[in-house]
Amino acid sequence: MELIEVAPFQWEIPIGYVDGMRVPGRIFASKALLDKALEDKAATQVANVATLPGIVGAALAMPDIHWGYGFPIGGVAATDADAGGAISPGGVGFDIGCGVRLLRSDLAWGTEVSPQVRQLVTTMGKRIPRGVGGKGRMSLSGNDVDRVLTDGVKFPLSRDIGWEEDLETVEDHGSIGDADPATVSDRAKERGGPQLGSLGAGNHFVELQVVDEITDRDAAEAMGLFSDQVVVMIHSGSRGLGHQTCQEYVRRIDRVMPELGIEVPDRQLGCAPIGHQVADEYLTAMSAAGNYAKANRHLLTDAVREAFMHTFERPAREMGLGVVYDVSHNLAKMEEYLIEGRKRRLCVHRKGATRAFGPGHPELPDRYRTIGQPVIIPGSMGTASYVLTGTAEAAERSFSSTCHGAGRAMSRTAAKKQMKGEDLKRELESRGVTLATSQTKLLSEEAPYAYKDVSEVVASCEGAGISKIVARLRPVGVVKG
Amino acid sequence: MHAPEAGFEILEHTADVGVRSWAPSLEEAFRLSTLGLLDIVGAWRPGAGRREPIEVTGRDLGAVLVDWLGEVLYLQDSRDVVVAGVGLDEVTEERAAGWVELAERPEEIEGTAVKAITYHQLDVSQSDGGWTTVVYVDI
Repeated sequence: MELIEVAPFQWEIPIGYVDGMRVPGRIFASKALLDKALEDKAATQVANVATLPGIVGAALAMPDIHWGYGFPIGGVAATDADAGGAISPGGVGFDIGCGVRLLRSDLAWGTEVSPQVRQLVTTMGKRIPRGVGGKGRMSLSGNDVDRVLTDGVKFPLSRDIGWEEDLETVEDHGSIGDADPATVSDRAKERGGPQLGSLGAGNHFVELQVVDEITDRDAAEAMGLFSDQVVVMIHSGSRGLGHQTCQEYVRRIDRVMPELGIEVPDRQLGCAPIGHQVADEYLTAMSAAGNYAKANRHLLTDAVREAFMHTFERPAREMGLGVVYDVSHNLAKMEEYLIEGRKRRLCVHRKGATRAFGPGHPELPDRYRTIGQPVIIPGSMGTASYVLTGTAEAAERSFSSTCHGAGRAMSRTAAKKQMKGEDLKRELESRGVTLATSQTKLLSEEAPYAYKDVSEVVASCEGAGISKIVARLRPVGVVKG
Repeated sequence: MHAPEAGFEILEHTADVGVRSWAPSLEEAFRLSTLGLLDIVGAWRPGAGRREPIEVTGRDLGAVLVDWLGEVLYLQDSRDVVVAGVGLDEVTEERAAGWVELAERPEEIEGTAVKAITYHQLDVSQSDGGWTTVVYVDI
């Protein structure tokens, strides 16, 4: 079936593409990225999402869409909480609250940081726990885990880790309000508790970057960004706590689905109507895991600041290592939108998609009120990353959502076959990227050629009017799990 | 040439990886699927270990397999250990019972962290020669 370009960079998947669709599907993409999504069967997954009970508007996919399990990665679905809308843990994913934090600095790359880059990256590597399993930077006792789940960033702050002003530029001001630790199992707490303050493995990283090009001066200035500036991007999530929480709720929902009479085309799309006990417990557990993820990135920030202080022998504040923004790309949130002239309370699932509120949105911190919400887009290892802002148009076009990264184009096995980890490390170093990795052998699983072109992804988002490019960042140092 | 009568292979998927296992008995097919999972994590170290019983229940064979693998992953990740042995005593439509043996992990584990076991394209089926399982994991 041919997809129709209904607006620039917007392609519609008509009802009937798969059985049971309640709304159309819509993919935001250039023609080239759309073709990749079609090759990948990801478009069928968008159509499958359109069968969810209570879904409104369209099942959406961002330009970095690729085949996932159940939901596509890069998928967005909004369901009407007051009209039988369902919540699906698979629509958030296992790494609940996974996201990105960008730190700025007052340091220039050319004159100040480049002479000491190897020492800085090695020190970051030593201070950031990473890889499979392992212990994190913060040991918790008694009911500390519950406090992390309720308070998010405020918990490490209460132990004097980080700066009070960091809260201002973390999504939800550092903690999601409706979190309830009682809905997170002891097993999830046992699995994730010891890992708080660790990076994890796979595509998670801490990257040292340089502001390469600024395209929106006012927004860059509001974020404290300037040319040749050194910044640090932190990409991590809720570790074993979030994974276990999602696993357990997918299981619970899979068990109640037959009695609820809900049928879905892929079992991983399992869902329950908002208001049902299991759905409501999932929402508060998901928010709790989201708070863990925010606290985790906050503790990694502390490791980065320490590494800068150790390398440059100056206090972190003197180097201006503040938080530009911290935003999740795996979360479901209750948000209000005008649909056909009526205000409706929607549960917006974003799985590998970033919330992107436009200028003036009441949830934005004062300093970003006029420019819109910062959106941090990590590229693949060794390629550019981007800073974007949300637009007012995104509210009606994409439930205030945009892309989250480059999006995989190749399986990990295929990527490994193409090049050895050692060769890739040499190639990246020859291009001026200093690496600290725990497993060189598996490095090529995350090679740049295994991903789509992030520049085309962000250009498609801008073309579709769902975000605006502010700055391009290029990597100079990578710490991988 | 015929494929060996029991074994497992890792399946490719753009974002994730899968495991296909096959064996004459359901118990052996589950055991081989477990070895596939541990192969991805890099946490399979056959040898001596501390035995930990596992019993799971589910609404069909697929759900039982997801729960079984989920339990092995939970034990491995939450205790931060490697798995030295695995065995299944019984697998039915509603339940699986068996054990794993856990051992202290070495400093370095060469593998990929698995976040969870998915229901995506899940399959446990019987054919002439025995049983086949397919399961995808999120990494």
